[in-house]
Amino acid sequence: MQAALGGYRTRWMELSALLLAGVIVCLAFALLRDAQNGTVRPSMMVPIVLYVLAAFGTSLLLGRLLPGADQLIFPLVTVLGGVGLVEITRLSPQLGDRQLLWLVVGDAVLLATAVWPRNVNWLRLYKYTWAFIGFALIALTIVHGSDIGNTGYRRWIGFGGVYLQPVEFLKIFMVIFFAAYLDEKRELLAGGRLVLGRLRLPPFQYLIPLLVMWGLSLLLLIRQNDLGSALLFLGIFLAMLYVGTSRGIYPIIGLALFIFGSVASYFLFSHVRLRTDVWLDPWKYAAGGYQIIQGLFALAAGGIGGQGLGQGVPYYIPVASTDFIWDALGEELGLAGLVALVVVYVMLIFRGLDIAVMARDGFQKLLAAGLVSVFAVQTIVIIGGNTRLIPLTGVPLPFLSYGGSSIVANFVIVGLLLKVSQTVRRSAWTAAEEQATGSREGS
Amino acid sequence: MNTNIRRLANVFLIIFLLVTIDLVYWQVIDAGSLNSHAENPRALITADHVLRGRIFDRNGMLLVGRRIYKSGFVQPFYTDPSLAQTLGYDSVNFGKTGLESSLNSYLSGQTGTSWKQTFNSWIHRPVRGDDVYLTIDERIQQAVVNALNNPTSLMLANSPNFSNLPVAVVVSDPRNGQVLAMVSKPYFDPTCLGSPDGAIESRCEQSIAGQPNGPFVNRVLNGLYAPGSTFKMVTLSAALDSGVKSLSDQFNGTAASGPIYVEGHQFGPTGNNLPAGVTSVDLLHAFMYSDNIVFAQVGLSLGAGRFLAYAHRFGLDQNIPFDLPVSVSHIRNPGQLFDRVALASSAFGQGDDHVTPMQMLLVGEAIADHGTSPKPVLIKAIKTPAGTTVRGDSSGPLFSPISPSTSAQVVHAMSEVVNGGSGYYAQIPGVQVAGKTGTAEAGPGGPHAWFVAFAPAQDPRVAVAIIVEHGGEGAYVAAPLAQEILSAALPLVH
Amino acid sequence: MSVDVALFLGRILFLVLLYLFLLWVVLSLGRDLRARSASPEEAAPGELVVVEPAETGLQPDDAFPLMAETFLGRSSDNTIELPDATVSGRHSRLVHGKKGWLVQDLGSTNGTYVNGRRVKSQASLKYGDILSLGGVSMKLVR
Repeated sequence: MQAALGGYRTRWMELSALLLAGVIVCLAFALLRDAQNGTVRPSMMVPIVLYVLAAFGTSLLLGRLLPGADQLIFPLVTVLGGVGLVEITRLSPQLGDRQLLWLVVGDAVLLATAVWPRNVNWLRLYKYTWAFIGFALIALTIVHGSDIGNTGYRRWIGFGGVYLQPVEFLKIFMVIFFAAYLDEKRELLAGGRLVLGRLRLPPFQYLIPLLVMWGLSLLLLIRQNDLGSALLFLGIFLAMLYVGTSRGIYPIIGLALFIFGSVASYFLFSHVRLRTDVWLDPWKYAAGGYQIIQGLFALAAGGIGGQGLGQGVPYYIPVASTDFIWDALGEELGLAGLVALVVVYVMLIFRGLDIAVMARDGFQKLLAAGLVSVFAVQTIVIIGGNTRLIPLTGVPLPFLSYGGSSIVANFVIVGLLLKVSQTVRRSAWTAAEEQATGSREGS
Repeated sequence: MNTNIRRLANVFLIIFLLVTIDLVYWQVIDAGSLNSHAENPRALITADHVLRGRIFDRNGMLLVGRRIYKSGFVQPFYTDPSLAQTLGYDSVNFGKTGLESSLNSYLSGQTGTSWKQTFNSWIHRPVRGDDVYLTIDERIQQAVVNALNNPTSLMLANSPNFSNLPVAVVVSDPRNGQVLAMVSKPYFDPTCLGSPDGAIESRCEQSIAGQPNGPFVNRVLNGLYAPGSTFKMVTLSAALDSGVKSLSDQFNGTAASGPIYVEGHQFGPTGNNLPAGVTSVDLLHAFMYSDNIVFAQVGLSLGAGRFLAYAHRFGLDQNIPFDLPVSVSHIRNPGQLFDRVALASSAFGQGDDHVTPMQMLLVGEAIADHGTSPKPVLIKAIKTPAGTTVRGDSSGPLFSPISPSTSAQVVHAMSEVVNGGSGYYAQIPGVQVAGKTGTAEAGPGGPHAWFVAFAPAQDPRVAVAIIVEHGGEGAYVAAPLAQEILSAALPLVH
Repeated sequence: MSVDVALFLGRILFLVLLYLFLLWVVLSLGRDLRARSASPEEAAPGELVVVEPAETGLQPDDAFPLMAETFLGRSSDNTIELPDATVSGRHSRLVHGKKGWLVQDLGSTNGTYVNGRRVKSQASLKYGDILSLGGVSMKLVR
């Protein structure tokens, strides 16, 4: 079963998982079409079939590009993307078509990341470069960007009809920077002492470059009024500090910074104040609270079993495809469906962190942990906002929300994770599996 | 670093568990209140297409039916306008009232549903609500309407404007409290209030609201009036039950005809209601002729404490449990001092008492039913579209103000009221009717005409309470009405 | 079957399949976790005994106890460091699983050989086999 054509290894586990995932998302799409039209004709199923074929193609190509990489992550991502595609199509067929395009582009980006850079460790050599490219892109959007999402701020750059949000990529650049920096300075941060007169403190001075870069990012985000992303950066910073230093003091300070920052921003920014007030009592603020109230109505309408795809009325939620896809899914799939999606996200995070644990060098560990944290914190923040656990932020839900930049950036994350997983210590189980399926060479 | 990574994984896991718990809260625990929230647009969409349950009388006659439009919109239509306030209406713009409101969850199929109904809601088939069977007997209801529309010459002689006067009539079975008929005039036809066309609905509401005397009010349950002499039923029961007086106690001279003076206030001679030439009466005859002077003294003999206590035991100042809201009847205005003048006046029903006709019906039923009034009941059964009963009638005793022996004495007194007293015009050949008239001072417009009765006196099957607003004398206007109604009802109740 | 009932059954099927998928993922994760708890740092039953040291500076009969996973190569971050010019920086990987020993060639310049036969990407090893990396040879013993 093992074809030795120039290092190709068929990713059987991934392909079988994709088969089941494909059936699931095709079934969902078919149910949507049936509910909308009373019948299902093959011509209606084209988008989802294209999506599934793209996924299979990607897996087949990965057998050549990253044969040893993890085989569970991509099927999980495919399920998410597929379910998101179904619901977005339900909300708006035009957006659905565009989402399909972005998902296929995402698959291509995944393959591209598998090819370049050849060695993940090469990235660490240019950490400052990446950071400044990220800053430059944001600066470019401030000066020359457009506001296609009607947020009141220019957060997109357009090239020939295609619009991207640089902040999604800045996150990745920052993670690379943090990972490289923390790995280099690990011993210094763990040991050593800063002596201020008679005080002996942990060596904060080594954190300064990190804080500067992080602070710069925050400033840019605040300038853009993208406070949701600022919140994300805080979370990622905290998580990576925790993982990267063996001293508990750093994350504690980070947490203190977070609390201080949140309280300060409540008083400084009317935008934050409005969002927080609406969160505390949405019924009092008819205009500002309308979105979250409709979102909660949608969740309640879903109950345990959901209204059925295409059979609820989630379109009452304004801007559902980007901000509130979670609640829209909640109305149509119910608690049963949402819990399943939560499990998918948890599986992705756990698998990603598994890869971080199995990674052999510090940079790769931090990189993997950081990338997973981006993914996890983003998911938590947006689901929390949708369920009134925290105030609403304008952050997209990975793979489920509509949004080209988010999808492409998340596929880059997946690609990097797969690359790291290619070179990890392989488990004895997979080694035994290889032995069982391997062609016997030698005596 | 690995341990930290593992710990980070656990942190994320815990956060996601919290998120899941929050989801359970919104989608299961609090879902009910969110789904029926006023601002939830889903409620309207689903409500329009529910095959709302129908309402029938006890014999299966349709009272509220369904008109199903092609668009899927379901409109209720009403066959008997005289039950308008009881049945209520279901309007998108004007809300729900009456039984359409209090039984909404059954009629709209939200509660009391069978498995088949629940399954239908899962697969998005139109939900069918449960059907409600009332204790109302439409034949008796129509008899009341007929009696109101065909006043006798005696009634017209004493109340020429009778056909325009607001009236409240409630008929019940005193053995089990089931309400057999309930009319609050003026009434209206609520059908146009459920119209899918908003313009028609608004015009409808305006034309009904524009009618004089407030047709939306259910006077039986929510009209508060001075009870007049009907309250002597309570005073007499209290006096006999506590042993303060007996039916043979004598009242002579001014004690019978007045005037008497209570703390400077004069009672009588108006209001003694004695026939010409009668100067002394026993308590029984004072009750038969409805002598206010005698009863003022009876009240004083009882004392405020006992009097108020018995009033309370008959149900005043208490909530009366019913399938529709009943206003609370009062003996006195809150906060006001209940002095001897107030006591004396209340004893013959002209103090600050305000009672509902339903309350007076309960008083009559207590006397009729050996000292215990039954809980009033309007719903006989609620059934699913398939016919399974999900709720039966919930009869049972309510108040037990007096002992059976006292009630027997009062029954005797009330029978004598009809045989030889002010209730003369309520007599039915072959049946002993027991009753009490009332003529309650009601300011300009004339007094309210009351009559509370039950028959047959010894084994009552039907009880009735009537008030004609500004109708004049109870004896000449309300008693004849009771006679017609009881005559029609008795053969129909077994 | 009417459309609404079909849709209802379809919804149930969708949820069932989704949860089955998740179950499968969880089981795969669990299997991996259990297998990995036999950590690579644990000793495995076997040793490599030097036969031909070439320029490594080692002597014949020098013995290296083996782990569940052992990396061999010229660079210093290998489990067994073989500083000979014919050995690549990261030359081979030796793992011990349920079915015995397995050697993988990690893309070396001069190749990995088992009993003289070149290993294309991986091959199994029995006790007594001679493993050669470039000019260096060792014997797998218990």
